[in-house]
Amino acid sequence: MSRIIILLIILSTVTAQAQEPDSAVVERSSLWRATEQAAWINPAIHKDAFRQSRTEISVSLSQRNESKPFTPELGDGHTLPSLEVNTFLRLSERTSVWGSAAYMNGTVRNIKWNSTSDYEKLKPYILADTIGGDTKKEGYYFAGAYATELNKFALGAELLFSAEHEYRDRDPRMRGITTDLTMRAGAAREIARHKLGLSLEGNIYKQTNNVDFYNELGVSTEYQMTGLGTYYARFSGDKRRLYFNGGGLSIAASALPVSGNGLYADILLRQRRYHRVLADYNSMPLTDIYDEHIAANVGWKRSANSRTALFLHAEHTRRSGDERIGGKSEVNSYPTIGKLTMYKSRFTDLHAGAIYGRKTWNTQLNLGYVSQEEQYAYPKRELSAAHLFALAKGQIFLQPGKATTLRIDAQAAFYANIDKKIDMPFADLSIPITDYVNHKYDFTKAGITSFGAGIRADHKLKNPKYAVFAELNAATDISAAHASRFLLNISLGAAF
Amino acid sequence: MKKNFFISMIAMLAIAVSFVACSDDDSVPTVKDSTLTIETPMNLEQVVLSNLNATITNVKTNKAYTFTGEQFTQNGNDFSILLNDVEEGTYNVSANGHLDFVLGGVAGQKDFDVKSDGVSISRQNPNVKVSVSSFTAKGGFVISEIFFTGTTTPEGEQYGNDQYMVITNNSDVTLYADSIAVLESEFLTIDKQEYDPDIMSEAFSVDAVYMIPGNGKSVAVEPGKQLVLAINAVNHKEANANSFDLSNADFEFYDESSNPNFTDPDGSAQNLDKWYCYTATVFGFHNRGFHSYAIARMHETKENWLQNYAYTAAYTWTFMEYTFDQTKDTFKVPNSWILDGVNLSVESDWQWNVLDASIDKGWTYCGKIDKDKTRYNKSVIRKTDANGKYIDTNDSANDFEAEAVPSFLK
Amino acid sequence: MAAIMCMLSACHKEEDDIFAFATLAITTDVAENIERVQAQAVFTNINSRKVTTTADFNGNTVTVELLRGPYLISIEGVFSYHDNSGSVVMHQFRAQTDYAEIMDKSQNLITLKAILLD
Repeated sequence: MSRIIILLIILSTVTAQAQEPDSAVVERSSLWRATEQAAWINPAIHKDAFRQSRTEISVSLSQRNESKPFTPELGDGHTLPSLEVNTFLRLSERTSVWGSAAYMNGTVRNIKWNSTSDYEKLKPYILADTIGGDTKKEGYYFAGAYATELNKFALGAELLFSAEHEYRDRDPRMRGITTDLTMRAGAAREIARHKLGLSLEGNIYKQTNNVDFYNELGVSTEYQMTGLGTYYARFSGDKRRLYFNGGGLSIAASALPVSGNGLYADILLRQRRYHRVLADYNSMPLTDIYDEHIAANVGWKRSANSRTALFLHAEHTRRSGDERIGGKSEVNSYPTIGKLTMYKSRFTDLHAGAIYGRKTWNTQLNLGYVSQEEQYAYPKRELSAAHLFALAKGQIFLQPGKATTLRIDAQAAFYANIDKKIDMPFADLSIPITDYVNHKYDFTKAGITSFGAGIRADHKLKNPKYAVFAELNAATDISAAHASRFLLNISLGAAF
Repeated sequence: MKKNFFISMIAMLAIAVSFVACSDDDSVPTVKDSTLTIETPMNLEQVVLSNLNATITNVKTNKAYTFTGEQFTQNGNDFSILLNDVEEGTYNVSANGHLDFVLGGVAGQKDFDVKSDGVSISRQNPNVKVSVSSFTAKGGFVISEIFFTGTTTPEGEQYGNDQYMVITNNSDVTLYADSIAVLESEFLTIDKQEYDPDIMSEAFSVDAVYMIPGNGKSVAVEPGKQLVLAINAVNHKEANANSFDLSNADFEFYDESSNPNFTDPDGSAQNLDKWYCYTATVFGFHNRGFHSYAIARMHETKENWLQNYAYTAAYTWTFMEYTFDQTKDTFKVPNSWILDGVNLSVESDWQWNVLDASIDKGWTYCGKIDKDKTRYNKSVIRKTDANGKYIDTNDSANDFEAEAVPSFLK
Repeated sequence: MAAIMCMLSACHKEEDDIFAFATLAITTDVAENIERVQAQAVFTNINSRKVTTTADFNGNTVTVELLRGPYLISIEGVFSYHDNSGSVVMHQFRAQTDYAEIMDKSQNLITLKAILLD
């Protein structure tokens, strides 16, 4: 208690002495920007995201440690250092360019039940084994965009590209090489004191994935997973070369008040599909996953002496998976004689929120409901859970010195389980699969308590065009499944 | 205004959550009067089921219900039990036990283990049935070897006392060999005659019948196991160093000879029950292979058979330009009693098969000519398939390895 | 919005009709009509390796609801019929196919000829 009092005294002292924090820093990290961030997917809207140009070069480290894996397919920890460059340049009042480049090379630890990269994208249609292990991960990320005003329209285009290579150098030696290309084009126009925007996005994704064994004593079975512990038995075993291809389209629309005050809304519809193809048997398609996502925000905001925003967020993701039915083998290939939609999952997030802030501080409170559900058609399997949650964030900007801006964040969240269900043919499950689904259920239904804090310091150099910065963010999640997770992000960099 | 807006949004959210948050308990209905039936093959007779254990396991909850044989009711070849208040759902059903039965006149027994997974029990479909697979029991015994040539002594003389026949249970159930008889053909494969009546399509004319004695369940033979029937169940190495020891044979052909100069040593094995033999002295297999042999399940008592299955076959014997009407008093065994048969002959002299083609449409041999000196120390042995089962296509030309090394000489 | 999405990307048509009925009929050369079959029919889905068994024969046929797909079907048991003289004849039999497509959403008929074991 005494330490808290001392901290509050220090903060109040610092606040009393505070000058205006660096506006370039504030506009990039203020909680208030949450009222617009969803609309920035439209490059024509993103054009006006920041008033100040800024380029940052940084070295970062992302560290995750979990006492038990929250999601076994993602491992129980990672150490991912990266080198990043981010820039946003206002070339003029009408034109902006922005972009980024990053290189990451690190390790993901103790992955289980997953021998494929990009699990969150491709789940549940991945290759998996019961052994797993650590993987090394290397990635290159590039993005570039240009937006300008032509007559009364703002037009923008953006290109994002990433290439990742994930591999393991001991048996089972998984390897995943992915490329992901996204192209966006958008337009915006002021109508009735609102900036209305519409953007389209196209995505192309590819991954080649294989698992090798060097051990002379033999190999282990690689399973073509099909959801909730099921797998495509006919092509599991020694079929260890796959490729994935897919992508999709998105459309987004938004309405932001030109003055910054008033009603605002945005909606995003995104559709993705990914196909898993066996490289053997004349490129036989095995499964297709379809992801349909809708997210919408509607709110009201006003910024004067204080800032107030009230909003409602709704988000729903529907995934459905088709298994291709392989027919009779013909000259080392299998025709597809039909397909069945065997896997479905749903995710829903509904919450209401409020942001309130004054000059140098902001607070946010979200109250809401999340639910997730997975089903496999036959033999019937189901796993679902729903939670109510409360999330509180606080943020303060300080200027302890003329050239230094300090940002301190804190947040807490609590997820309480209100519904849960598991329906599995336990009598037919092997022990490893039983452990896998029970672990998944324990973590899906578990309540979570989270705490996080962050601090960032930006210091202008003698030439005020240049600055250096350091940022530290840490968070811990405590799961009712008797596990905890610790997240740490550290960045050191320079800005100009 | 903003306050009203916020309150109304919270209210909408609360309503939405209340619809989705509440969920009723999933209570599972139970099924009354569900029955589990275990079907045994309808072609089995006198079925007795013992050591029965049956389990139904709810696939979702892993809850198992176990039942034992006393709880089952027999109705013909079906065994049923009433299942009270079983939860609706999908079940894995398993049942194992022991069956005693009679199939085609052959007593048999079999342990069974039958499963049926993913069976739905519901109020619309309350009954579950599993069927025990049938299995081959009838005709399960085959003649797997006939050593009829005898061995030779170190001095090169023939030694014929060490003949034997091997019969094997070629089925996948334990069979009882009681009342199986070894039959020798009356007629010779090297001497074809037009016998009247010609009964070959219905019966096998025999000149020797020796039967394995028992009370019906005395001689159990497990699947794949064999019985050695020795002409003389003694250690023949004592008399002939080139021979072998048959003192551990299962049965032997024993004759009370009428001629004190030709007596039959009574070896250590149990004697076959002699029903009939053409010779009053000592029986042995024809060592040049001119007779055919069969095994049959005798469906009559010895007395009834001797009384009712005798017949006289008339034929015309021709020698050069002379013909003579002849008759032969003999006995017959119905083909329907025969479990297996083998025609034997030699290539130089073969004239006909004396077993109906439905029993054996070919013939096999040791030796190519009459009195072939190379025929000794050789046997005819039935071939086996990749699973170790004896091949039986009712064609000994195909099914047997001719002139094989006798199993007792390997 | 949904219409625009569908136009842009052809919405996924889910195939929820995943089951089909299969009727297995046993025939034989030794009789015109098999009157009764007593056997356990085993249907193995070639893709999932899931096994469905049934002994619920009606005459010489059995109908079972299965997940659509290709199946390996095997059956061993006993069938009976009346011969020309009116006597009941029974035979032990086995029948099998290593590939049968149960894909039609309504009904799929598979006829297997019995191989006599006796």
